[in-house]
Amino acid sequence: MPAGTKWDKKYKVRDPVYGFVKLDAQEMEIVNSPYFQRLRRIKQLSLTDMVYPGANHTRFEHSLGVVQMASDMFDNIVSKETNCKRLGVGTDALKRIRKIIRLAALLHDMGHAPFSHAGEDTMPFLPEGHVRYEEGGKKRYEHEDYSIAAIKYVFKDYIEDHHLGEALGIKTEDIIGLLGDKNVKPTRTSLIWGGIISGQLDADRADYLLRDSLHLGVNYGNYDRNRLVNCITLGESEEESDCLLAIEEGGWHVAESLVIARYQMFSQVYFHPVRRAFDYHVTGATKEVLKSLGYEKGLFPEPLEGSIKEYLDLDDWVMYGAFKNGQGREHGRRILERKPYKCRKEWDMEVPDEEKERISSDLKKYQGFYDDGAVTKWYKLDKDITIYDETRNRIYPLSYKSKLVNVLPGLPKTTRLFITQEGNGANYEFGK
Amino acid sequence: MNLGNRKNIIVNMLQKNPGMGKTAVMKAMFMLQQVKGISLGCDFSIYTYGPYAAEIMEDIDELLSEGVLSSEIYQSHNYIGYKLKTTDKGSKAAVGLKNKETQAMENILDFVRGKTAKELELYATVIYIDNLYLKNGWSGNGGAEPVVKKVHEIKPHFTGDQIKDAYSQLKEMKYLQ
Repeated sequence: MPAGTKWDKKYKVRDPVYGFVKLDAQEMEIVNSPYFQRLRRIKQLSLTDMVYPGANHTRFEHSLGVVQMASDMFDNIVSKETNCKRLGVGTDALKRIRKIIRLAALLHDMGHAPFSHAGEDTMPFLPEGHVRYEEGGKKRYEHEDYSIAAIKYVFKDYIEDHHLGEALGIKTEDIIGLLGDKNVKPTRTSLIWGGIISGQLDADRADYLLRDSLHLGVNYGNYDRNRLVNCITLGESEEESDCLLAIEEGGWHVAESLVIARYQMFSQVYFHPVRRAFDYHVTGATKEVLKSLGYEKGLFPEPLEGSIKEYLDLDDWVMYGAFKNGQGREHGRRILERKPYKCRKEWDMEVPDEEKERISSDLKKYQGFYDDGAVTKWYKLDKDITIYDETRNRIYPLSYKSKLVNVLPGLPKTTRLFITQEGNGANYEFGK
Repeated sequence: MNLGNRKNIIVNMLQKNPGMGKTAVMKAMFMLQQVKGISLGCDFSIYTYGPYAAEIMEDIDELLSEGVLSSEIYQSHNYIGYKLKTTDKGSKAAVGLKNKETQAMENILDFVRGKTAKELELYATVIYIDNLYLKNGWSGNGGAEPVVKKVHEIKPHFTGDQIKDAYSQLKEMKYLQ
């Protein structure tokens, strides 16, 4: 136990979104561990600060925020007698579930690569035999795989050997099960409560929308947090077969505003063309750095017992240091000098065949890239939040009630051509 | 209009069996991949209603916003949801499936037809858990017991007998590995 961490003390950490985040001694011990401290050196939004200079917050404060948000959601749900009846478990079991949710929330982002999502294109491909492997071998590991490996191989002792975890019989499997690890047996807890960590109504997105908006100085991601937390409940699923996370009917407007907030943040911030250009440069620079560090293919080590600590030793600072040393080569230089490729043409519809030909011919003459759809695997709109009408004991999708959500488009279809602003690209114009 | 393989299968499925709900399409696609070995590139996880893959839900949303599918509201006694069908645009865009896919799809549709959402939840969950146990070597000497026990634990609203019956039926149909 690190010096200064007392066994049963409660800790309060200042937070710009909630005022305070409350942690117990076990959680504080995890927070104070070197590998958790690494999250201070992983920026939440990669190089979004190249567009919104305030975007310098990190995965560290987001992880603490998700603990607070998840706990508030859980506490509100179990404060309602009908929900406790529906769950059919007693106070001790609820305490245990609460602790599992808090630890999963705290550790859910442990496996993020340097530069968060932007670093995911340099994760290795899944080996044959992996539970998600597909013919052709084109699927990569995801940051969740690294989070699970970190929890299993680095945080096991922190979870199982601390008296607070021991007293509740918490096992590492409980945490990674809630995070969706397919190598542990699913439980009723992981099925019902997994949605609070990852799902339509999860604490992750509920936190990052508010936190990102605050740091960027935009209002797109704001919604009524108190209303959301107070309206979250357990509904009875189709044909009353089981319970599921839902929003009380009276709060459907807040569910609507959450969906719209998310849509706005994606279109205005996360898919901003300059941010997308820097995502591309991050991938290129990271590959170069990894090669210079001896990773032959320019890919991160796999999330295995023997290599997870090696991976966790890499963070934004290591990468920036390497860029400064020239190890990021051309892409690294562009990041340091803020000289991204520039978006020269944008399409909101399917690109006509003749224009596709022009794109490939131009990309042979000019440095640049074609961003095919600005859609990544981490973009999931999941617009249909479940609404529960307790009076009639029925559930329905938010889009049934909300005309706005019903007409909200699915995935953004924008495609973009980016070309260098240097050398022969200085005066480039598409089609001329 | 090029739909891509997975979306094309969804559209073909709804042409054959219009009026399926989103959850039923999800279960049918799961069985197509898991039982019939049709490669759909989906990563199914176990969720409230049984196996779920975000990719399928995204495909359906995209097909709806592209006008390839249309939806209409339906109501059961405690649930309001959407029934899906193919539009004229969808019928034009759909490409015939390979023989193997067509046969697999028809087989799965025969199984799905007439079953309630709750029944489909049970069958799909049994298939998911059986496969998970097999892949991870948790099945011991094989047999129904560990799978039935786990399904009952995570879905206590199904009785042991209901789960055992579902298991036997699926085994007989060679829907379990």
